[in-house]
Amino acid sequence: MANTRQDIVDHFKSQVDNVNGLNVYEWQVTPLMEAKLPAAIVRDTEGAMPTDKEMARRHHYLTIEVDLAASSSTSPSTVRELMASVLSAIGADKTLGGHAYDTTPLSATLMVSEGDQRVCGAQMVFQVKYITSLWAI
Amino acid sequence: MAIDVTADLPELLADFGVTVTVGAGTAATTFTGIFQNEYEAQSVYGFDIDSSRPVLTVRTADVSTMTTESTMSISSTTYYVLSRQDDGTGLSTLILGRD
Repeated sequence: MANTRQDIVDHFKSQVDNVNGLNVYEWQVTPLMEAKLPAAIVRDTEGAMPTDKEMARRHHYLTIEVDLAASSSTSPSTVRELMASVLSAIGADKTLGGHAYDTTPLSATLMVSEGDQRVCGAQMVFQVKYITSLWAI
Repeated sequence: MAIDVTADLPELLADFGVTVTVGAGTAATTFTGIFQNEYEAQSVYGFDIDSSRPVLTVRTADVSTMTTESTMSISSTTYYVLSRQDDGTGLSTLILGRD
């Protein structure tokens, strides 16, 4: 059964996929091979549903997280560039193909992990606002 | 019976050691160390990334001038020192990263 949340995640992923050289995954839970970096994992996590009492419809505030990772000694600067590119790619269509009425970036945080290679990661959090009928997502 | 690692080190290095090269060309020097590179997943935010943890066990005397960021070649791969841990008995453990 088609649902708006799926359409939004599909469009969100495809917009992130526009970033050059980035491998995009949805809800990846198993370890990634280093050869797959730089990569992004897209997750639709919390979905708040305040009801619009004036009309028979439901507002949705969907949280979408984008985790980014790149390896090598220059990975922090690479990941900063990726963050800027992802932000630009999402900002190019904040309606996500007309399924949302707004998309807002909430935060962008960086961290570094040292294994046999230095890996830099970032987490970007977005809030997507959209409307459905009362009993739909 | 306690194992005297320091006394047994020459034999251990002869049996399990690999050649470590520091520097290049005519200035290159070599010594022997026990190299391990076990699997370790690296975690950054939602990512687990297949990785490993290279560790080299050596005589402290062989690495006395090595500090963090010193580089070496093991089996044609260049590593740099992330951490040098001397145990005070003549043995050192180098935690390595790939260049």
